[in-house]
Amino acid sequence: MKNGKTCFLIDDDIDDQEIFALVLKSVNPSIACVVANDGIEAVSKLTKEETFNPDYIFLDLNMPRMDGKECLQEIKKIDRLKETPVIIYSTSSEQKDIIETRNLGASDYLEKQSSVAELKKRLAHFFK
Amino acid sequence: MNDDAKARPESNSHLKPAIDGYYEQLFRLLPVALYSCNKEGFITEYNAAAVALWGREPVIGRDRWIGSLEIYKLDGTRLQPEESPMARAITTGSVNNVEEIAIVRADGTRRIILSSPRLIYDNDGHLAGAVNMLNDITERKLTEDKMAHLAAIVASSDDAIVSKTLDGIITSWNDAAERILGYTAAEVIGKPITMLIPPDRLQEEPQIIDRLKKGERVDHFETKRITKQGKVLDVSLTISPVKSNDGRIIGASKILRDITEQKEIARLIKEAEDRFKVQLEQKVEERTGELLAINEELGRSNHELEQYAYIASHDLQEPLRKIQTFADLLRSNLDDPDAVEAYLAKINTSARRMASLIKDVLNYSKLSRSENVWGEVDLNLVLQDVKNDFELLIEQKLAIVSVSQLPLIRGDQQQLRQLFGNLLSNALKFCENAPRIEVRCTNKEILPDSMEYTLAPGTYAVITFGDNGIGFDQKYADQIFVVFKRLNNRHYYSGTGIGLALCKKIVERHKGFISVQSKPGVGTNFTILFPAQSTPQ
Repeated sequence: MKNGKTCFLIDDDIDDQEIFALVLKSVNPSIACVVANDGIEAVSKLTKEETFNPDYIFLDLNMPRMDGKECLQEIKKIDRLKETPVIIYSTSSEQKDIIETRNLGASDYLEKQSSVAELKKRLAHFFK
Repeated sequence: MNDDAKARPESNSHLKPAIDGYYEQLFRLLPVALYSCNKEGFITEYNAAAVALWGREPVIGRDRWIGSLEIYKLDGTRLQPEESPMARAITTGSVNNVEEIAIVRADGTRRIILSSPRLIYDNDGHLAGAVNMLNDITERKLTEDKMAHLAAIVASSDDAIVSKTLDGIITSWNDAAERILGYTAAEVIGKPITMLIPPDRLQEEPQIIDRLKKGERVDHFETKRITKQGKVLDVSLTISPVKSNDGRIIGASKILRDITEQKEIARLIKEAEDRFKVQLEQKVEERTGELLAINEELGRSNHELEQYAYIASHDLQEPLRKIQTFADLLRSNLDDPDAVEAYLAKINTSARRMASLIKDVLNYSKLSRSENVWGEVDLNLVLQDVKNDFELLIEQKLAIVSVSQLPLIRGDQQQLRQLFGNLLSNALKFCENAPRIEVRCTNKEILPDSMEYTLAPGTYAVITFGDNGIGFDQKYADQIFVVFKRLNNRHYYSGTGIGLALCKKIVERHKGFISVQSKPGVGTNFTILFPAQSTPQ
């Protein structure tokens, strides 16, 4: 993992945003973390700001207005992000959600952790 | 030969002079059985026809009175030879004209004969014996019996049996015909059969006659005939040609059966069947409806179970996970008092959120499990209670809640209080300016073919619950009634995401309907329909 990468977190939960950013910083302080509060905000940002090209997108599933699955479909419609890995970041660990999002083009699935150490380990695995 | 072989009782002729010559030949050759006895009863003479009838030759000098082996009265009583007509004629000196008796031939067969003994006197006028002529009437008797039998059958038949000529003139008419058609034999014999045929069926008769002329039968032809009293009967006709001995068709016999009752019974059975069929179909429909309703209820309850499972795995886990995470972070920042304070506050918030989620989920599931406590509920009182509950918040937010007259409905007071509570709470929560909340009521008639609502036809109270809050895009209108579907970020607008799902469930339990119209920045308007209990006071 080279320096100067951008990670785009789409999650309506402000606590989770904070925890994610905190842990990410401890894993690799050179990765910038950009946050959107829900799917609509994220899709709007991605379509309007053509120079915004995150290297990773972390996407929550359970969000108001536009949920993660809808948001994933919208992201996959954006040409320049076709190769950008989208990692589902959710409380759910249900097989149904995992399979469904994989079929929609998600590249990985990360369950929200209750232990900071565990989250750190998982994120380190992504950004090693 | 002066004497007649068939001697007259009063004549003085006797048998002897006839033996020889012409009369003897006549006696022997006559094709009718003849025999004579002397006054002691011994058979003296007999001819070939007698032998043929008896089936034996009598023994002269031994057989007395009769030439056959046995004789009987027609009623079956056995007669001794000395009780035979011949014996009685000679012993009493007087004769019956003719007598029918049965004889048994030598081969055991029986014949019925007419016995006609005539007395013979000698020249001195003394009784010399008798001559008997035996006429075999067996065949005639059988035919007569058969005819009597047939006549009895015709007479006693339940069906009308009528005969007619090929010109359609009635020639016979049995009792049943009189009973069924009302005319006596005297009234109809010699009259045309068309008198029985309804005018609109007169064309049937020539067709029937045509078929009869070809020698064909008409079997079970169902038609109508008119009685003397003018009543039209349903009848079944079987008509056969009647042939003369030489095979010519000379008329027809017609068996007429009154099937009016049978037809009526068939009609009643058909009617009953049809009625039963309709009832059965209705029953099937009802049962299918019930099954569908049960199925729907099961589907709903299954769906709810799935939702609970989802709640347990997601929404309830979420605050728990945060408590653990913030506890982790707290531990690693124990030397930073500000961080400790911040993480403790977050742990506290998550714990409170967890508590309110559990409370709401319990409320929601209780609604599924509990029976409704039905009663007459005054919605004015319910809303007043709810307003009292929120008094403080209403004051703080400078809210104005205006309420028109609300109706009485049948329902569960606790549930309805929860419904209004959730709606009022939402209206007070999702706003940026001083809330203006209006509760109004009208009536609406739902017609049976209404496509607008999935509600039973009838009168409904329509309660609108409107606010001037933040509103939302109408496209989310369906989502807001789903458990844990939130349209707003929890950070800005608190809530568990259960409130409106609960409202929908309560309204549906009251056989009502809830819908929402909203516009971002303008406000939200909930519309609730309840079956009307009585007109607004």
